[in-house]
Amino acid sequence: MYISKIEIHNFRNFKNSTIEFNEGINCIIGHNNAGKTNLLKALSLIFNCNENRKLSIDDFYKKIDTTVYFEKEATGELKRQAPPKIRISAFITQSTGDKIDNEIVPDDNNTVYDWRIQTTPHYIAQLTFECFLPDGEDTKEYSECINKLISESNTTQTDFWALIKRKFIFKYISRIYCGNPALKNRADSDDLNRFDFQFLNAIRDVEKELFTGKNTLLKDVLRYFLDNSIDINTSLSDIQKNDEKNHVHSIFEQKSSDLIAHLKQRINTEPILKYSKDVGASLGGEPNFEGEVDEIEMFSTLRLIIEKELNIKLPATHNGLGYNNLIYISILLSKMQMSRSNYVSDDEKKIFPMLVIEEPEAHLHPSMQYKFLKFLKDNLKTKKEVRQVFITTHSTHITAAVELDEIICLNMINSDEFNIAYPGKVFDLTNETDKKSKAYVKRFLDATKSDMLFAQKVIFVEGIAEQLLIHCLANYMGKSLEDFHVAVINVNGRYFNHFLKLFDYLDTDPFKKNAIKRKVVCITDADPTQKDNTKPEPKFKKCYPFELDADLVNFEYKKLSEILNSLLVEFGSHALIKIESRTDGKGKTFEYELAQKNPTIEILLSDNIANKAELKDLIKAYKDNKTLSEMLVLLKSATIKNAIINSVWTNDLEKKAAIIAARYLQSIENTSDSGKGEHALNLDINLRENFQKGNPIGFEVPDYVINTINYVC
Amino acid sequence: MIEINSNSLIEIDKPFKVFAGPGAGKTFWLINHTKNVLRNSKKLSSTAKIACITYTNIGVDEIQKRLENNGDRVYVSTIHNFLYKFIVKPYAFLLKDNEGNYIINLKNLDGHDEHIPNNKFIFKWKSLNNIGYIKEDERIYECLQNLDWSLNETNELDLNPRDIWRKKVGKYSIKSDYFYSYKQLYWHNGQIHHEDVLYFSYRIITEHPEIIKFIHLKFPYIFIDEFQDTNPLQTQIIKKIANSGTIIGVIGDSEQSIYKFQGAKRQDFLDFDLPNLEIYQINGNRRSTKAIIKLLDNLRNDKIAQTSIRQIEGVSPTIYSDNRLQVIQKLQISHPDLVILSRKNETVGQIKNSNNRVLGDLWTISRNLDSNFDRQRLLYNAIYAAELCLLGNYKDAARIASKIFYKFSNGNKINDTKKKELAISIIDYLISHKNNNLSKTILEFHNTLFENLSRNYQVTVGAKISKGAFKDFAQEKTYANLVQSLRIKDDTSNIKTIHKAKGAEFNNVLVVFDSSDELKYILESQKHQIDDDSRIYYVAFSRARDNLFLHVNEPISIENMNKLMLFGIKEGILTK
Repeated sequence: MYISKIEIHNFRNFKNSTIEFNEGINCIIGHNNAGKTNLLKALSLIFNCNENRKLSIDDFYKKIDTTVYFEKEATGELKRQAPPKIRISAFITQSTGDKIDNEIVPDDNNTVYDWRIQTTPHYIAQLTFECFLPDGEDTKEYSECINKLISESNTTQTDFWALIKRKFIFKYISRIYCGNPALKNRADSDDLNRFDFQFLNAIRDVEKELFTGKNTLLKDVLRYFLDNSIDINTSLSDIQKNDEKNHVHSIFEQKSSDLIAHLKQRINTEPILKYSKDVGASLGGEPNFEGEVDEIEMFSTLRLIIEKELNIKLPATHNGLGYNNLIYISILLSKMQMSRSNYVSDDEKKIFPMLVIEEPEAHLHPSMQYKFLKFLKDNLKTKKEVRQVFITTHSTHITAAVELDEIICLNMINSDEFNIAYPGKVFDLTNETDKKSKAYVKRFLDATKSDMLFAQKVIFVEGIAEQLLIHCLANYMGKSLEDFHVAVINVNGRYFNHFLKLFDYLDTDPFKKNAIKRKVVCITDADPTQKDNTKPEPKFKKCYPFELDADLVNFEYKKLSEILNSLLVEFGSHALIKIESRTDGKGKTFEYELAQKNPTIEILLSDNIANKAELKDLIKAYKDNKTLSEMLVLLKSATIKNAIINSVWTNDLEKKAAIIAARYLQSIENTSDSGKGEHALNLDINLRENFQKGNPIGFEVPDYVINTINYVC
Repeated sequence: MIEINSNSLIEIDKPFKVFAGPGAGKTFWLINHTKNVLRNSKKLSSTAKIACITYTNIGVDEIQKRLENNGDRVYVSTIHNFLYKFIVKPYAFLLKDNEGNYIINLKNLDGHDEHIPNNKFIFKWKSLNNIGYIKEDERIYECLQNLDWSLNETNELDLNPRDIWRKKVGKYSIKSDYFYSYKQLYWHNGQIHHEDVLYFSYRIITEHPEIIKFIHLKFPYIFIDEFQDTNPLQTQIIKKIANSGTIIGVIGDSEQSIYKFQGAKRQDFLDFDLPNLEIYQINGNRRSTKAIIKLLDNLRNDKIAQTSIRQIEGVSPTIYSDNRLQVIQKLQISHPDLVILSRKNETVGQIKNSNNRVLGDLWTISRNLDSNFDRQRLLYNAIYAAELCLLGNYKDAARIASKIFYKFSNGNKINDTKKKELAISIIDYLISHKNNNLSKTILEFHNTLFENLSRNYQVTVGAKISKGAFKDFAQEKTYANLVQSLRIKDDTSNIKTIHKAKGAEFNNVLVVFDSSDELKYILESQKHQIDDDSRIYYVAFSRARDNLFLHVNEPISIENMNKLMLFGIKEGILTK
């Protein structure tokens, strides 16, 4: 069985939310204040038997519409006779995954025996935590107080909560019901205790919690593993094991009593005992010192140390925080192993250990994060010391290490709207394209791209230049992408559609309702194409925008690329996804657009660019208002020259800018891959320098980029 | 059939049936067997349990006590409580009517109760089925009270009076179809009766067989004591559970089957069979003296003679025919722990109250005269609870008393905590005023209680007694009469009916016959095997360890006395 769902009502930032869980790992992500910790707290209220279930006024959903609590029926009675309550329901479902015969695990059955709300084809059990003002005199008093507030016309939200806080919150009671919560059957605490809720919060002070044998956690674990090597020795019979244990225990007894005798012998008790004689205490018998020590007491003298190299020992407190965290977790796992073993009484044996970790990345290097996750997965699969894991994280390394299906995204759209997304569930696996998309996303969702899951808004770009430059271009618009938590994701090509499925939200679609509801823009190149029908096996090939429609007899043209077109068809009217490109038949690529928009600006030319001198000449000619033919003379590319001459464009100024843009693009494309990256980097530096000087040269941002940035900022 | 003794250990993973006569030490054996399973079973995971089921709550307490520290690994319970807790309560939500509503109002469901017909419901039921023309309410009441479920030939559940002739009320016969709608009235209120527990359990596991699997996993072992008093429905439920793999063990003695009037079928025990069932017999009687065993052997229909393990000759059972009260007084002096057993509730009431008054079933009369069911419930639950409390059964006392309360006088609902509080107040009030109240008439007692509740607790239950036939009754009868007429389910006192002594053992026992005619059940026990009459006295006699006394209220004929002497019974005479 596994915890399959939680419904949270009126609790902290959850007004009314349902969150579904996976068997195994659940990786909960979301930006700060999205409610990740609150979700864990909600789980804890039900499954953690050590949780303090007394709640405070701050545990209520803050935006409860309090006006309804002041409304009256026609009879003059209050519409709501009781103040708001908090309700959290957890659903526990029979595992159906790998077992063909749907065999029920006996311990699972016996634990959820009377919690069920469904019995077949697989069972579902329900536990409901409620925190409410019990019906009776208190609710009567509540009604009177509300009526008084109404008569004094103090009916604001503040008045309401002030009343609850002052007079009623401490009278609230908490209950855990099983089965249908309407029937108010209380869950047996013995059954609830079968869940082992081990929680590691983000701000853990492991040093305080651990590392000396005095600590109860460590003590428990040490006690369990005392003589464990005898227990696991399969060559011994049970009787032999017992004999062996008795034997080593008697050795300990002998040695420890020797030690105490030695100690006692060194103490001169006479002066101490003399006083007792003098005051007459010895009349009741001669005082003396005696003592014995058992293994457990001796644990207190043990400290956890770290042996770095031979003979260099450090107390664990001197160890790095990251390692100490891992040590802490490993000791916790040892304890969980113990709680499930025969070491504890059958009546207290845990049957559902769950590990709940807040931000496992704290103090951990990315590669260690990866290793840790892998360990957890292996444990779930093979050792089964942990049966379900819940982790919250901000680490893209962790999301990259878990499966797409294991990610749960808490997405705060605005202060009232909550969207819970399951990126792994947006794909309809009966559909081949979706299947392919899922495989693609899984394959390419690395740590850098995972950022799209965390950010509040996403810009998808095709290449390194956009990725680098867009931040700076936003600055030119007086905006900052960082301020708006915008992630710029370079998909290194045009496979936007696979990633876009993660964001293609539609509440009426069984798959798309799982998507992340978030503003997303794709910036893509127009990339016009042409097809020469005079050639054998004609194909569409890239062309310049000014080549479009030049020879309608022999050529076919497309002013926008195939991919852009299909994106526009699919998402053209999408509520949240925008496709941005220059679509008027004048655009080609990002760099082309930069140059076409800024034909006079030399800083676009970085040191790495080819044909730098020629480009400089062209820019100068444009600045000096030279004619088109004068510029064509300077142009050393025959392809562009012919195309411009044959173009159907009529505006010479446009053509002149196009010459610069085309030659600029051609020059970048002729440089090596590393050169392109370097060019983008240098261009970024140049543009930033210029921006810091207050943009004296008047650099302008291309229109579709402006649209993009305005959409997300 | 394998012969064993009460110390024998048997194979733990096979179903079994154990025949064990009185005093064979079957409880002792059952405890040993249970411990043996606990220690050696490989089927018990940390959450699975053994169920030990017995017939009475007294039996439950006894087993619980003897098991000592089993933690929670053994669940000891009566069959009804077991089925309620593990089938009806958790899974009744699966039972829905054609409109998709729960068959039972689960929100109000709180345990199962004795079936006391509610006048309001009878009235409603009559109009529902257009049978208002059947006027003999007393007969209707008796018919409905007698209702029980039974499996028909096609394994469907029928609802009819146990005594089928009760269907006939005057010149009319009530159609079987009507009874279901009567029960529904209770269910819609969240009330279910003891007999309904078996009905619902059977339905749930038949309609939803997956539940049997759940039960099997939770209880890999179920042992049932006193199985000779099983009824066919219960037997079917047990068989279904056995088929899922749970190891079932049943223990009993068909010679001690005495619940035929409640639908028990002793042949079911004799016939009970499961694949791989091992049958054992525990011989010997470690309870009684040789003199008592001699009498017992003579009464057994199967003529299996028990050997005395104690090997003490003992005193011959003694029969008295002097004045009953005097006999009791004398015996109570010589044997202070004397337990008095009688067949009829009426007799028990008389002895308890040291009188010979014949009161009849006052409670049924009272309910028939009074149309106000809430008032009747107040009277009954309050007095019953107080008596239970005096017997030390506080838990049931509080449960029963809290069912009196529902709403405050102002119409507000009373919550559960408050109900408990009120229950304790009312019990406390009745106990502290009992001596005063005993001589009061019902009218006086009730109206004082009524006023007290409404004045001090703002609770109105029923109404004051002010007029009508019930007023006459209430003026005539006293509180003491009502107490005397009570039937207490788990009577732990020293004076009780034979049925309630089932499974128990006492040092010294006096069995009081209601009339000397009843002696025939001893003298000619072979003739009275179809009904339980002879077996009832067999059960009564076999409770005694050391001394057994008998009492008839008329002189015994010489002929009878001679016969009695053949059974080893001697005549006792009171010495002044």
